[in-house]
Amino acid sequence: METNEEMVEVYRRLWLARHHDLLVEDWKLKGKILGSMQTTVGQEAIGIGAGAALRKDDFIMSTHRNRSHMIGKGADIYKMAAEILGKKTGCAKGKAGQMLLVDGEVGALGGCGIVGGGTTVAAGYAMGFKIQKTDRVALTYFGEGASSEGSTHEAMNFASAKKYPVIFLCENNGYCLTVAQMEVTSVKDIADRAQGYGMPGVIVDGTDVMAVYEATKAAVERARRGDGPSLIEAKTWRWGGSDVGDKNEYYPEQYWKDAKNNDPIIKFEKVLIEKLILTESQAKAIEKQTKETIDDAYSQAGKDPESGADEFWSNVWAV
Amino acid sequence: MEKRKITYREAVNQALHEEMERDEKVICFGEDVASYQGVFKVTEGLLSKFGNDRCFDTPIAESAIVGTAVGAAVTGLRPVIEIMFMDWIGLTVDCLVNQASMMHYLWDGAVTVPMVLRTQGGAGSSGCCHHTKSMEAWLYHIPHMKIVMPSTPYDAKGLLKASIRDNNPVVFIEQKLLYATTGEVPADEYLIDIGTADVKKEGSDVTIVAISKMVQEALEASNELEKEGISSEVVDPRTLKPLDMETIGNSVRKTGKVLIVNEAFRTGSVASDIGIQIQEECFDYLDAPILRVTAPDVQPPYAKSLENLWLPGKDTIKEKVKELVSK
Ligand SMILES: Cc1ncc(C[n+]2csc(CCOP(=O)(O)OP(=O)(O)O)c2C)c(N)n1
Repeated sequence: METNEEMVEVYRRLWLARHHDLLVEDWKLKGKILGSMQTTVGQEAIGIGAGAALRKDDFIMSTHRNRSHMIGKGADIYKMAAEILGKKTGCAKGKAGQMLLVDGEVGALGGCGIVGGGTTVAAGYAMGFKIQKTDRVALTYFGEGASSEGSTHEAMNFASAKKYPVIFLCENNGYCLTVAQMEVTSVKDIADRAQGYGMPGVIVDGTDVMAVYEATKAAVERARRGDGPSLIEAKTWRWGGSDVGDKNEYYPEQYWKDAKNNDPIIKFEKVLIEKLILTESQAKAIEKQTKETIDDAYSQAGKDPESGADEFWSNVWAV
Repeated sequence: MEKRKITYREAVNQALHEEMERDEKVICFGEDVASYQGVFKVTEGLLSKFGNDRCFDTPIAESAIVGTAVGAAVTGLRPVIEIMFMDWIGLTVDCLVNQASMMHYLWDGAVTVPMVLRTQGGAGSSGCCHHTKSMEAWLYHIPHMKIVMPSTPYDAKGLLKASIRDNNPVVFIEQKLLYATTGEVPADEYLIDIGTADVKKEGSDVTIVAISKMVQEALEASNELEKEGISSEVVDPRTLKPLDMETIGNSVRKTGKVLIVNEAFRTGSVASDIGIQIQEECFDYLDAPILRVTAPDVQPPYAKSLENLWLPGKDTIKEKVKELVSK
């Protein structure tokens, strides 16, 4: 985010992510989307900010709560919409659905329904990049819940011992499904774990897109230099609960208050307007235009054909 | 005897309540099982009745959930743990195959490991490959470990109670689409012996051995086939290990033809193994090759149109039964 244009693009992507997930939440509640659905509403600054610090040829490994990560990496909106609607025009022709979204063109590889399942694989992306002597990096998102999985610990130790170029980006929204973090986690700050694995660990405000961008940029530079992995903990709030339909009865009132006082989009909009990068009406126009992009993608994709036997039997084996 | 109609979910829940009341050594833990009472509400009421020492939430750490259960079982507790979706069972398999199932035998009786791992599987809700699969075959391969896979509320309750009282590691596999199904259950306490199959419907032309939710599909198929003049017997093993080959064999010796239905990947499935056991024990009685209805060796896809191609069910069962009858 060195130029005004880049900052405006980040702002636009924040809104794309917001409108996208508000729409899928609505459609899911209306029964127009199948399966279980997690939204990134409230957490957009993380995927969008970190994505802006990556190159197109870098890889990300995402989670079940993945849309802002995908949009931040530049994934195709239409193909995502069609995938979520289970259509032939989707990024995986309807095979993968919302939880396993993918866009190989931009290194968004990809969603993951196994909590903690992505951290080791991302370390492997980084292994591949290092052994093949590129300066590409991998970034893996994971929740504070996923930080309890053995795989996450194994990935961090392995990657750090071998100085693999990978960034471990923990989105800490305070809840592991319905269980509060401190009931099942030994530390309040996941960043503290970095010390045990011999890598830098920093905490950032995960609702401040600039802060996420800066922290990621520093970690990416370190990784590209060959100095190995970093852990970033982005503190955030999960507005949509664990799954769409979750009534969030377990959130204390204060959680909601803090969440609503830390809307990442409002925060960034303020910065852009103060710095005279956008006027209020320009900001409004962007918001409106992103909503149209999402609405159009979904209404158009909704009319696309479904996959059938040909797609079902395609790519069973690699040739 | 007085009977009550309850759901499969309630049946499992009642078994947990009754066993925890009966024996204070029974404890229950897993992800979201305590305050939230389970994502399928199977552990409803346990925390409030038995307190946080006996029902508690764990970190998201499946291998440690199983490992701690094994350790606690050795000290004399009887843990009943939950792995929310069977798709993640791979994270626990090392501990099951190299610790839980090994100790009593290779340490020659020095310890027992009385624990129950509850989990659930099954497709049909667009869960895609991380929330859909039935991986019982992986566990079936492990010696010294019992596997129960009930299809009705009656079976679920009686078998879970028996599993909790068993002194071996038991894996108890529920089915997400069965939770809301109902059935009659005695008001009085009862147990079902692990290792006993149940003939769910009698018939004479073909034996259909069906597992878990596929029992329902087989019964529907069987009822429809009856109208076409084909009589089929539906046998529900209920326990995969030990497998009640006596009941299955008796049915096969009567009909001479057998179809095995298992919602799981085809290769290396439990269906394949039941087939070979039938072949070994009933070869002289078979009038046709043993056939299987399974899912294909393809990861379960998300879209409804694709998941329907993956999921075995009533129509394929009817087709295969007809194929057998025509031989
Ligand atoms: C291996 C595995 N265990 C458990 C789950 C069930 N599950 C899905 S999301 C979730 C909570 C994850 O918490 P966190 O990593 O903090 O991410 P968040 O949902 O808060 O974004 C759990 C337990 C799963 N999908 N995979």
